[in-house]
Amino acid sequence: MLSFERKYRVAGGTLVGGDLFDFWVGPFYVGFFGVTTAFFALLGTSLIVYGAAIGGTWNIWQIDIAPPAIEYGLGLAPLREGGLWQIITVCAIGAFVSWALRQVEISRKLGMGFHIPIAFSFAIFAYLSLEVFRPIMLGAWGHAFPYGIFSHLDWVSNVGYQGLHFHYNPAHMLAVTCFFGTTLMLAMHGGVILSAVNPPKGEEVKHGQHENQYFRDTIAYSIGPLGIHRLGWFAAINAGFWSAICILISGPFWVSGWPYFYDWYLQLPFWNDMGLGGLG
Amino acid sequence: MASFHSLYSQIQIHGPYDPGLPLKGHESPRLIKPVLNRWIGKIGDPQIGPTYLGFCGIASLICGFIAIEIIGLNFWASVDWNPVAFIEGIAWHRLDPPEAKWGFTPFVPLTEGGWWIWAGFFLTASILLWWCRMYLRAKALGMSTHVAWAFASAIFLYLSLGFIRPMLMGSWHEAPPFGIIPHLNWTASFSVLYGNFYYNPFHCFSIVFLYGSVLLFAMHGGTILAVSRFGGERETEEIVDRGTAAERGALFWRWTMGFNATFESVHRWAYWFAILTTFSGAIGILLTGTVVDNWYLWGVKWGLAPEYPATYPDMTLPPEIAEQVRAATGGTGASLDLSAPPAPAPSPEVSR
Amino acid sequence: MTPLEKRPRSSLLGVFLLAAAFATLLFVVLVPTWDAPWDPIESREWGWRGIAMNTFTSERTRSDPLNLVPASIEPFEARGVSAGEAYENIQVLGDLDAAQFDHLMLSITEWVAPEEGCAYCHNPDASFAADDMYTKKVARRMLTMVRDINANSRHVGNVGVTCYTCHRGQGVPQRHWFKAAEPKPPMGGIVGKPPPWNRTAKTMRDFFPRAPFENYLLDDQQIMGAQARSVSGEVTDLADLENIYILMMQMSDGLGGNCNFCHNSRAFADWSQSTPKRITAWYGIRMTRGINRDYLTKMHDLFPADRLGPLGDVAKVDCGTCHNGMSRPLGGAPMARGYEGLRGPGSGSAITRETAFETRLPYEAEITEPAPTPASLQQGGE
Repeated sequence: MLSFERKYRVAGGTLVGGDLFDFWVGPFYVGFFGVTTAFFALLGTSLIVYGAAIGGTWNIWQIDIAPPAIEYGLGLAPLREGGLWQIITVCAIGAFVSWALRQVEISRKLGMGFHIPIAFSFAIFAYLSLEVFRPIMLGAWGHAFPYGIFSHLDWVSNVGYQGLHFHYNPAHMLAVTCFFGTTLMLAMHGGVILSAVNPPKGEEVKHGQHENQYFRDTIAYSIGPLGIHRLGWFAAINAGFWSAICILISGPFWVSGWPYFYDWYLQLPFWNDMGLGGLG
Repeated sequence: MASFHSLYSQIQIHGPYDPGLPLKGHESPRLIKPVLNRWIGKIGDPQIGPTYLGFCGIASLICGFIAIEIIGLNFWASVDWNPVAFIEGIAWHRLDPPEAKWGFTPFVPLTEGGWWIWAGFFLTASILLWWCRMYLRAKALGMSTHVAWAFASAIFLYLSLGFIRPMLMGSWHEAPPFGIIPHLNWTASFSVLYGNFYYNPFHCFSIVFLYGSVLLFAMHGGTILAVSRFGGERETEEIVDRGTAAERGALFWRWTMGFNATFESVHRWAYWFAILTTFSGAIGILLTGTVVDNWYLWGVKWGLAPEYPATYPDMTLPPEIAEQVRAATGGTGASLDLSAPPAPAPSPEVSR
Repeated sequence: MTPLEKRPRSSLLGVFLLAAAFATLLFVVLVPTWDAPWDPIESREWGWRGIAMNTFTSERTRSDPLNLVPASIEPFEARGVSAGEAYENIQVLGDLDAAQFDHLMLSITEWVAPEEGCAYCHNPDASFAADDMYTKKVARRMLTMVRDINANSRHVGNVGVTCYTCHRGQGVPQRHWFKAAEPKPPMGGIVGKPPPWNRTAKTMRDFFPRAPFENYLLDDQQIMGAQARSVSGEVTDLADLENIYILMMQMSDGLGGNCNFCHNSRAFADWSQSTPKRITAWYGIRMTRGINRDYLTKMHDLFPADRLGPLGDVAKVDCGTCHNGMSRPLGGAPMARGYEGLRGPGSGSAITRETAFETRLPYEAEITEPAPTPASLQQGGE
């Protein structure tokens, strides 16, 4: 227990189960959702190990637990033909949702806002989009990604080439922008905090005024200590959200290649009608 | 405090602006009279400006302006100065590097890719001068230079793509073009040509750090916003004199996942994840075509690629194709089964 | 504190921003021609489960009227005389029974010029034997081409092609391509070559550069070295690879498929991970090249100027010309069956590879329209 921890370990704040599971194990808070998280995580992990054992390889890069072939549609498949994948997916969803709700309980206990579980729920949404929503819209669990390090990359590769050239997917463009933008802001924020509190020899530790001054001097604007966390949190959430959208529309709402999506752009009425003539 | 204060500022103070910390004698004056903007104030500090330019800033802006002019005028000229076509094609215009026959010489006629070299030169000059600014302003304010070194990591990726790797390959032609869609086309073609970038381990690392960075900012931003009711956004103060916001933030993660960073160390995690995103990306680019030609075959060699059961066990290459493939490989190597193909399967006759 | 008189200005901006966001959303939802999962979208899997080697077809393609199999004309009672004996100036189909000849001529009219009728090729003021219209001369060459394809192509299989496979009731097939004019460098060439996008195009298909078609579907350039060291030691030029990439996208678009129809994208070049469709496509590229080079461009002198492209070249075909967005043209309906005149000299057994490779999912006709039940090949010949 940390030196200041005891006074924060108070009862209450649970969503389910009253004070039944309201205790700590080592540094971990348990709670009802801690129990469900542990259950799903252990079951899911064991099934992955079992899947590896019957899968023919213990090479960590090559282990592959694949969803059913799409002939099975949205039905159940035999264990060795994708059924394992289906149970593991249920476990994963159970564990992720339990984890988010456990974060809610801990936030309540500490008197904090719910920003962390809200952000995490966007990651869960992205996961559900890939493994549940899109397969349902396409009519088969076989469209979901397999559990395996390089097999899931093969899946990503092939899904990208289902759209012929995935960079043309407008939601993918947005998502990538949010990913890169978030990382840029993270570097700037982490860097400025470290450079303020770890000044060169002989300098005093700096605070908000210097951080503001640094970014005003270099890029004309400093968003400020609260603002950067609002912006970073928002951008990170959007990275997850647009990732989910870009895969949800790819297939269910756009069947052909993404480059061919832009016919409407070439057909906008105002390109050739300004008396300036087209170019052959 | 109002209930949505962690998401946007419900109360703003618009008083006299902050003129900035006093400058030292040899520094040039700050520019731009500050303005207070109410909309920007909703999420951040309402004050825009003043800013410091100095020699590096002015030189950087001039070089950047020249680079953008070269690129933009090339774009515009390519549609014969038609302004409508310029706007219509803004995503499609391209300024290509010299063709392979020019090698890596800096003396390429302007119309054959010389414009690309000049645009790249001025853009690089602009970026490097901007780096100097990031470094010098930190020094001038008595801070350390962390931000500048993180920026240097991104510059390393940029230079690896456009300069170092082309130099190692001995050809400008290997560099990406300027242009929105053209650089995306280049990215896709590049991945196909050199095997499959998903099997490039440094690309894997780069993605891990990219996603990790976003995860970290979601976790960190969420934590700070969630404890903003305790003044958690005053991070540097909490670092040197821990308050209840830092304690609650730490305990949240300790109780959630058994481990916690401190208000300072979380920024170290953040800083290194962000730096390593571009750094490992750059290493992956530099190795491509120079050390490793085909990342997929490299992955096969080192046991990364899963083997899937054959979906078409009966499929054999018809003689013409096998012949062509064999001719291309000189009868050796390749990832193909080139054992003599049997004659095509007897096929159902057309009813006659 | 905010001065009171400033408040209305702020909220006006807010209203404007909200309206702009709403308008953008509306635009994004309404303007592009989205598919919908309730169409429904049909998917097929071509690889091992879980690695997403899947293709999709949407209702939009399936319900395209051009993709429906047209009603066929009932075959005629054999007349017992050959067309060469019955009619004058029969150069290609002289050995055919005259009844089959008539049947074929009527069918061709339905396939190519249903509105213009016989007058599309035969001058109504002259004899049917006269060769005075360019369309007739072209039609004769085209007939030779179809007979060659049906007899010798390893691409079309026992399905066979007819005029309708490309023409779909139109004098000029809907999908065709011309060489694009090389754009002139402006200002006496102080800047480099303009990009080869076709700026007057209204669809992305036409917008893409023509170089991929010219290099690989007309000239004899081979698709080689597209992946470093995987098939040969050769590494292609990045600019060539961009052309190959565009060619492959145009092929996929023409077939209504995607890369995974033929390839496992983790190793495009590797035949052992590809699907048998890639073999069919390999023959298809060569067949298309043959059609363009040996037939279409050789008819250059027959066409009037208004049928030629901006550079004076004849209209040429690519994969989409026949396939029109389906993996098998017209859903694989055996259009040529029953038309003995459409099969030229050559070994018939060489073209029957299609079903030999179906070890996972059998082809099914992709459209529910009943396929015609044509007569067998010998009906008129015995």
